[in-house]
Amino acid sequence: MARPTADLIRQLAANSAAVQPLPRPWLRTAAWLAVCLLYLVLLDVAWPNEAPPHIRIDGRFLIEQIAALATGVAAAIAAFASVIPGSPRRLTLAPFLPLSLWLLVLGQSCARDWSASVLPPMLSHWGCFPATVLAGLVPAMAMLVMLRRGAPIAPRLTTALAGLAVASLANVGIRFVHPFDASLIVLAWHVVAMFGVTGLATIFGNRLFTWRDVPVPAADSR
Amino acid sequence: MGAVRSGDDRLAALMRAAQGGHPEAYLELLETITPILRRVTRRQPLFAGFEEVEDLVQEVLLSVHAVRHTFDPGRPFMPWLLAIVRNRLADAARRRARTSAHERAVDDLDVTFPAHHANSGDEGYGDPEALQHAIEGLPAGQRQAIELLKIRQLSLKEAAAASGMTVGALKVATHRAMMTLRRLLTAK
Repeated sequence: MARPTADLIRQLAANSAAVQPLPRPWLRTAAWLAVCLLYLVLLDVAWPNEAPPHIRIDGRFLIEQIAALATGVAAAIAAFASVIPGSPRRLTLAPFLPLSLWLLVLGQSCARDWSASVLPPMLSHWGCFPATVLAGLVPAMAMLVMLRRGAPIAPRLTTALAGLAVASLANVGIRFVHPFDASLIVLAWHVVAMFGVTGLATIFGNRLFTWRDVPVPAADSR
Repeated sequence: MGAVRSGDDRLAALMRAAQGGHPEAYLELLETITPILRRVTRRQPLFAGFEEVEDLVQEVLLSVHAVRHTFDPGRPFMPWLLAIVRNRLADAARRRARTSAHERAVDDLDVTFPAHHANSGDEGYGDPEALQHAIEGLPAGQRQAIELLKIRQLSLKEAAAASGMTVGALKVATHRAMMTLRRLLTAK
């Protein structure tokens, strides 16, 4: 014990500057989403396509995109809530409903392609993987900066949810510029990228989010 | 239930004031929660010692200070505080588990160091009778210095008061006596 607890309390109180409380998780999610959508729109505009992509925007595509976007939003809210001590843990389950729907739609499409023998050349589309990672770059950095302002109560859970949010949103952004329409490719490259990013984020969670040391000045000798 | 609620409301109000930069409110808040933190920490069988409990209480207080901006003024205070306490205690338990994995409990050590010379019984002079004779043969001043400082283990100040000699004279007499004893006893 370096000093008596009563002294520490006096020092902390004497050096307690006013602080701005963190906004609610849904408000922080809205701010993060605004930054991400701006980046993704710019990325889509600047994407080097020789010809405009032929994307079949039908009901299935829309459900898939809405489910992916909802997964990203729910995961982001849950990630921002996870850095607030005492916030309800049930929020962490919120992304699983849209995620299940997204994977279900993709799975159904894959099964349909498989039965119709419409198997795309998988390896020729390997570029989807780095494209998804590129699309997730700015959302990931923005998320990291914002999350580090919170408390590292459950670092692995926080990074897992953040990884899911970033990868889901990156998938939505990249689906508007990639000229293909095969669910198997989406499943193989985009979803693998998503789970890869989420898994990596989970592994390094404890290093990304740690308790900060508080500099405590010497006691006022009154 | 109502009392608990009003207690929590008071703590939440103090925290809101502390977030606004009121040191008096913050001091009152920290002083109020410290006994609660002690109680919660002591309840854990892993952390029993006074120092260890106080270390953990201070760690929690520093954590509360570092993330006080994460408290939502519209929500209750205690769930926020207890989430931090649980997290810090879990961290401490993990640290302790890591440390104790590299430690081995030993009732008593048989030897100081494994090297032979560290465990030999040749401590001090082997022939006390010869040493006694040699001391008796010393000049009076040197003998008195040895008796007071080496045998009775008095401090220089105490020995000077007892003998009426100055501290400097005692030092010189002791040094000379030791030289004489070493010469006499090694010559035998």
